[in-house]
Amino acid sequence: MFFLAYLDPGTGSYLLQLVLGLIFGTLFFLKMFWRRLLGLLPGHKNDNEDPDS
Amino acid sequence: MSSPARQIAGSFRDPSGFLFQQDGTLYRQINDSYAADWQLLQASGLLQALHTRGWLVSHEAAPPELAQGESALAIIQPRRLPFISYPYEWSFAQLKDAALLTLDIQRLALKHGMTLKDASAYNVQWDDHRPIFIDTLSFTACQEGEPWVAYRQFCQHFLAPLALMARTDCRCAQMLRIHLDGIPLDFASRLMPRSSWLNPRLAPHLHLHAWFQNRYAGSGDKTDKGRRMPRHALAGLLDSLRTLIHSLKWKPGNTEWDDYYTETNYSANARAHKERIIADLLQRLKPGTVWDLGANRGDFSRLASQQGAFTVAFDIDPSCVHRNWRQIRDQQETRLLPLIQDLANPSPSLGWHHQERFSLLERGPADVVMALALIHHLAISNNVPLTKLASFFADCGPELIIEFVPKQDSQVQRLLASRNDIFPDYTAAGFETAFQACFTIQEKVEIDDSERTLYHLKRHA
Repeated sequence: MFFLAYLDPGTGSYLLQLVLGLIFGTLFFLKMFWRRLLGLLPGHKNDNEDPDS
Repeated sequence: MSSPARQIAGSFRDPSGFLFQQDGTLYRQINDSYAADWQLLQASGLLQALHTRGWLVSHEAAPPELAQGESALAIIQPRRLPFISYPYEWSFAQLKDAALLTLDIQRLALKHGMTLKDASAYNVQWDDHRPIFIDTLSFTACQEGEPWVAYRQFCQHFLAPLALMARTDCRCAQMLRIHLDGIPLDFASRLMPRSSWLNPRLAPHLHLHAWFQNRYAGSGDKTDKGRRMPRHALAGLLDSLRTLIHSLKWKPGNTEWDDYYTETNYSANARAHKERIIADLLQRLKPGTVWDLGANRGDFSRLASQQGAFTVAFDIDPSCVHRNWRQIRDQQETRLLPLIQDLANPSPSLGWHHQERFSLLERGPADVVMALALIHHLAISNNVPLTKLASFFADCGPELIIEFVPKQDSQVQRLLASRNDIFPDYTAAGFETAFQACFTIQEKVEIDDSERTLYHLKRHA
């Protein structure tokens, strides 16, 4: 489409990732921390979804 | 003497390499420009890890003499999949499985110091009951602090259509046929219900994403692209996308065809007889590939797949295809692929030069075509003359198993109840005359306890 030809939607996506990475990265860190904490409890089943595990 | 190599048009965009076919075999050329990444893909263990999990199509080394041009680094021969399908032919469950595979592959790639440079839904195909990634050259070295370069593409190819299907209307998936690089996020955002703005998982990746694109479009080099994204932030982004995709659900409604098997006018005896005739015919024909047109949830398709034929079960109804896929996945069935296809408007050739995505007929022919309880819908509901139906089926494959459903049949009476009977030729005699223009009648069996007849037709040589 001509009217979009010189506009770059990638810039917005790039900047959004930096913002969301900050938020979701923190949440992810807390989630992993919480899982590890639970994992230390006796009898707790590890439900890690890690694809490499 | 070998035939000249023919480049597969859908792979021309990537400078890392391309697919080509020679003497009926599919090869992938890897270009010099991909040398460092190809080395890393193997040395990092990622290639092995992907193959072990069955996530990436396997390949063998091929003779370097097959190289096309000066820039070749290596030639590989990927395992050939029996049928290439496209996202606009998939059900909700299939697109969701393909999305989850893409995210799992990206997470695995990051652990090996690589990243997916594209997240196109066209890179995923179907290998029995599992999705499989087919583009071996999509992996590139991940630079520390670099965001996911394919984030936008992932949202356009997977998130936007899945969210629209789940929250607006499952027919929105057909927009993938127009937007080959995925549904633009501003467009998807507008079509979503307002309540979706309140969804804390969905709104950032879709609505806020569309807003950011619009806000920063045209800012170009004024934007500082030097800012870094720590690895745990990238992991968090991927985790949130995976949780979001996983949470999207679509419940098939009571669509017209979804209750078809319970709504048919078959007695148990008629159905058993029909199954026996078809199974017997397939046993004798021993096809390698079968297209079951108007397959519904695939009960009759399974007669073919369970006999060893790779069978594509086409149906117009997304609910039927969705349920069929879930059954295949849950039961770990093999050799059966359900796809959405409107036979009155089948998938066309699309993309650059009409060559990037193949039409339905370009992906044929099948050894055997089945059209069971179908032609009354095409002839009466869609006004397609019987001669036109015959020539379409002849283009689909050389052997046809077709069921003629006469006007006396209660299902045809239902179709005729709301329209004028302008189909004087729609009789068994008219059907045979029309189809004999393209086919020879090999066999004709009346189904017990019904008005219907099954034909085995062979296309004229």
